[in-house]
Amino acid sequence: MATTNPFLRALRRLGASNAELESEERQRIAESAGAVRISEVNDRQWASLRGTIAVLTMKPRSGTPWLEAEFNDGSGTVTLIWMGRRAIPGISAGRELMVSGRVSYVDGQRRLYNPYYELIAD
Amino acid sequence: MNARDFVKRMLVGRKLASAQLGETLLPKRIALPVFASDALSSVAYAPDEILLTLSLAGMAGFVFSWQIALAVAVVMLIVVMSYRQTVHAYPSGGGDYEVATVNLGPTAGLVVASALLVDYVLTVAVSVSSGVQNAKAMFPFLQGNEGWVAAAIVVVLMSLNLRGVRESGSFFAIPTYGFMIGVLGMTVWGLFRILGLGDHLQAPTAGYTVVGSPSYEPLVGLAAAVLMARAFSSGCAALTGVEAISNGVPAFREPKSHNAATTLAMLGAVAISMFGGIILLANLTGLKLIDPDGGSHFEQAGVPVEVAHETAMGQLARTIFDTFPFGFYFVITMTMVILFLAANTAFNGFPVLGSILARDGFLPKALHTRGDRLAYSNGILMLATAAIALVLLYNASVTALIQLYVVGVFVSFTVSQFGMTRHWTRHLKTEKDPKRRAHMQRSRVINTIGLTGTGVVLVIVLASKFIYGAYLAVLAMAAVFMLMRGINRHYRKVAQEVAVGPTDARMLPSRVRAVIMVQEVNKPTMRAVNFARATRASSIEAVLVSVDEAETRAIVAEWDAQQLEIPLKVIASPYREVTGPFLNYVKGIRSDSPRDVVCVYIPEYIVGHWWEQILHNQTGLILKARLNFMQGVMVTSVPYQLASSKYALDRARRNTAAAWRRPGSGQVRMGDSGREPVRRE
Repeated sequence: MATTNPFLRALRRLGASNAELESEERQRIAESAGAVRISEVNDRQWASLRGTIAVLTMKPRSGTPWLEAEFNDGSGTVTLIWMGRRAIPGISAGRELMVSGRVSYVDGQRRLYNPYYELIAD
Repeated sequence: MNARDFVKRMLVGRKLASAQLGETLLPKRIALPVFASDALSSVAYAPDEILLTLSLAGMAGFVFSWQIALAVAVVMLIVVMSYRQTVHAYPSGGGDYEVATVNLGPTAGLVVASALLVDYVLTVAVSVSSGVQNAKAMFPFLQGNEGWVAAAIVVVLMSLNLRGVRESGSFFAIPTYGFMIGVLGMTVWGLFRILGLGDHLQAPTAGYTVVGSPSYEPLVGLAAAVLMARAFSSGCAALTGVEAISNGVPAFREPKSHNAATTLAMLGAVAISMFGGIILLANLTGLKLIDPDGGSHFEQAGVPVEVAHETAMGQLARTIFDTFPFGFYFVITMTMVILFLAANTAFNGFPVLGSILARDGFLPKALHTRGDRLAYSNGILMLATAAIALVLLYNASVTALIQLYVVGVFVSFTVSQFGMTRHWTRHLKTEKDPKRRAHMQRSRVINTIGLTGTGVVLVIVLASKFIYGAYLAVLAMAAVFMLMRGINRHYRKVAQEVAVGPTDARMLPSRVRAVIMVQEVNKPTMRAVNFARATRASSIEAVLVSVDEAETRAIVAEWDAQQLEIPLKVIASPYREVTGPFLNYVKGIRSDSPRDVVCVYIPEYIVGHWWEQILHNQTGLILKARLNFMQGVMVTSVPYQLASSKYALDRARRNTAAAWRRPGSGQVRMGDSGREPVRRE
């Protein structure tokens, strides 16, 4: 990835898997949008992130309303949590978002409570 | 009962319960025909083969027929004597395989087993072919279609055996005694007419001159020795089946060993006298045979003539009973029947040996299973297939097939005799009683003679027949040997791999995470949800792969409306596939905590027709197959019986063949080799 030699880069792209290429592509988009890479976010850091929702969890009605989504930008995953909501129109699996908020580490997992979010049109 | 079941029931008969396996103990007079049919039947073709081979030397060759017959008789005597020792030492009926395994190790046992397996196939092929050749004396129209006729007979034998014909005494006794009476009666009557009445009996071929192959004419030096050796080894086909009694000792009445030994002696006496009688009559009547493939032909007054091939038995019966056609038909019929019976004994022996080998882990375990009729169906099918291939390939030519034959018998004779000498040596080390020591020493001498005799014959057989086809038999044995070794190695490796070791902690998984695959919200999914909840897993979640945005929204809404108390995770699938994201998700929760177990519940539709199977369950099947390769992932298939599944159930109820698929029906029985007398031939 670090190489600047165009020939070597082309060669690497040929050998790379679909998933690798995809994550690279998404990281590039995130970078161009001025977002931080999820893998480089530190605990308690305010960050703007850009990526897609990989897994959206719908909690049962009985518990506290709570919307949870795994958010991925190709470099890493952060769990977005909206408290007090069971669903948010427009937030669905596969949706591309720009989110910002304070990322915290819980049990080694990144979490982002009640992020600001911006739906990005397909 | 549908048409297929009806046909099967007609062909194979009703199912038999394991309890019907019943063991009937045989008195000597029944045991002799039961076990001797193979050994006696070889009298029908062994003399032919001697004469055929000698014909290569032209008229000069036939002079040696009685010397060769004598040599064969001597070998037969040695073998019978040796096996009488085996019968006393190993009354369990394991036969040569057991003797070799116990005394010489599993490799030797395997050599014997592979030799025997190959030989069983050849026994069927040779006996059936010979029966067909003999039948030509009565039904000349068989000429030219021998291969197909023989194949058809093998099929008939196969279906008889799938029915599970036990060697019921009378079924075997009548033709075997008939054959003995026919051949011995023919010999006596023939000798009486020739020597007593002074009749000048001439075989149909007596008037012809045989012109041999140029390489053996004149019959001198090395060529003579080679030809004699070939004739001798072909004649040794008469010995096949002698070992059958040693495998059948448990089926004898008490005192088993003693009765078996006596029967063996009787068998030897009858076989030798029949064999000698035929050769003698052939000499007296001027009977001649030719081997067209080997290069000998008939000539009359210097002109080559074409004569339809007829066996020695056929010619002799025609000559001796020229005024008594009933005798002719009797002898030919009995010869034919006993040859088919001899083939049938291989159908008894091969599957039993196969099942013993399967039990010891040298053959696939399926061969150890008895079918509906208590016969080892898989072994029977294998044997029949191989034999049919052989008779078709060689067009039921006994002369061609016999070149492959005998090698296996003598390999097993020699190895087992060697094993017996080791057996006595081992026992002599510990035995103190001088009387029993003397007996053992005598037995060892007999077995040593047996070893020498059979060893020499084996070398002669190999040397004289190798290029004529024995190499194929040797190759087949080597292939079978390697195959069985490979199977055994595999079974052992797997057994080692799955064995429970002392260090294997009986540690329970720390947590079980239940994952329910959701594709729709419907009854099968609900059943999976209910079942998963009932198992009380540590955590439980439903997973839906979102392939289509609108559909996902509908399913999520439906899920929400059902108020299921289980979180539903919707996985994005940017490439519209289900398996990939699902597997990734499972992999993800796996890697979180390695001591966790993930249990994936997949609702499955149970359908009644194969075409419905194509329409349903495809994603689930692929997922199941892939998930099985993941560590720490269990897949639970939650069946939902669709209305159409009752068709499949009805079919299974009607269909006995599919009955084993019914859980708990107990249709698959394992052979109880402890109780079952191991019978070969």
